[in-house]
Amino acid sequence: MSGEFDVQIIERDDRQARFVVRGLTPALANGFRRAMIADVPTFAIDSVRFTENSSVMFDEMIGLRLGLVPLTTPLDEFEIGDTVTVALDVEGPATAYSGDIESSDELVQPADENIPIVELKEGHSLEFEADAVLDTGKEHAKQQGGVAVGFRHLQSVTVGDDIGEFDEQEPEILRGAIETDEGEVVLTKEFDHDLTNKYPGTELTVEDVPGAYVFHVETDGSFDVAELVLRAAESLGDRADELHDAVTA
Amino acid sequence: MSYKCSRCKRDVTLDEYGGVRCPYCGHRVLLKERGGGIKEVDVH
Repeated sequence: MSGEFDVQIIERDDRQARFVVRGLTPALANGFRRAMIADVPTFAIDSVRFTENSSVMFDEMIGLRLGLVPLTTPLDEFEIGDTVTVALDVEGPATAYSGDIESSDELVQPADENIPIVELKEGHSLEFEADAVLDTGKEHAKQQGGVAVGFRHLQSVTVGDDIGEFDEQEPEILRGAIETDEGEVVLTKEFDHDLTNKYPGTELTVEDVPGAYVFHVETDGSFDVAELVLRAAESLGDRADELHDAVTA
Repeated sequence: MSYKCSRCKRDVTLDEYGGVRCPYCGHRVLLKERGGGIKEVDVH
């Protein structure tokens, strides 16, 4: 492999992105996917000290829910193993939401404020203090920053002759993005994922583009999607360097 | 072990021979009281 990659961003916002990378092997594409899932650390609640829990749920069940609350993670400011203390105190009747969690560090806050933790009835209350620890998805799934990360081959469409006047055109369902005859990459949602809506009444040939993959990446809100992708690429590079040093030493 | 009767809400202490029954109202549904102090739970 030449090592020259061509990246084309198709759509992108803070939490999710879709982009095409050309010049990859399937193994490297999968390595990149796995790095996004397991190598980029995030904060997650690791231990909880319950002072009061008169809700209908056991402490352990609430603890498991708390572990899955995404916390904002500025990676430049912290190192793996760092701890931040958070706390919550809610009295019923009310629902305890992730937004009720207060943090000792203003940089580490719940990424979403509307995640329900438990519904409290009249006379119920929930009070705890917890430690959030920075670690990777390799250690525990609650610390995965990339939550929906996948890739598929980029497919190109070649438009042929018109189909016969009385021939019926079968639906041609595709997902993600395609490359058109003109070399333009188009999202399949633009034509409701059915190629016959974009090219009605024509013969179509769909083929995989060698070495080109469409990645779809979504984060849990701990950081934006650019941070996730760049950190994963950095992690792959570091590991390649480590292997190189070990072999050449 | 201390319990609370779910009907009359009085504190009940179970002994070896009394069985699970409130000695004041005879109700058989007793609620276990939460112990005082802090309970630490690991999230794994």
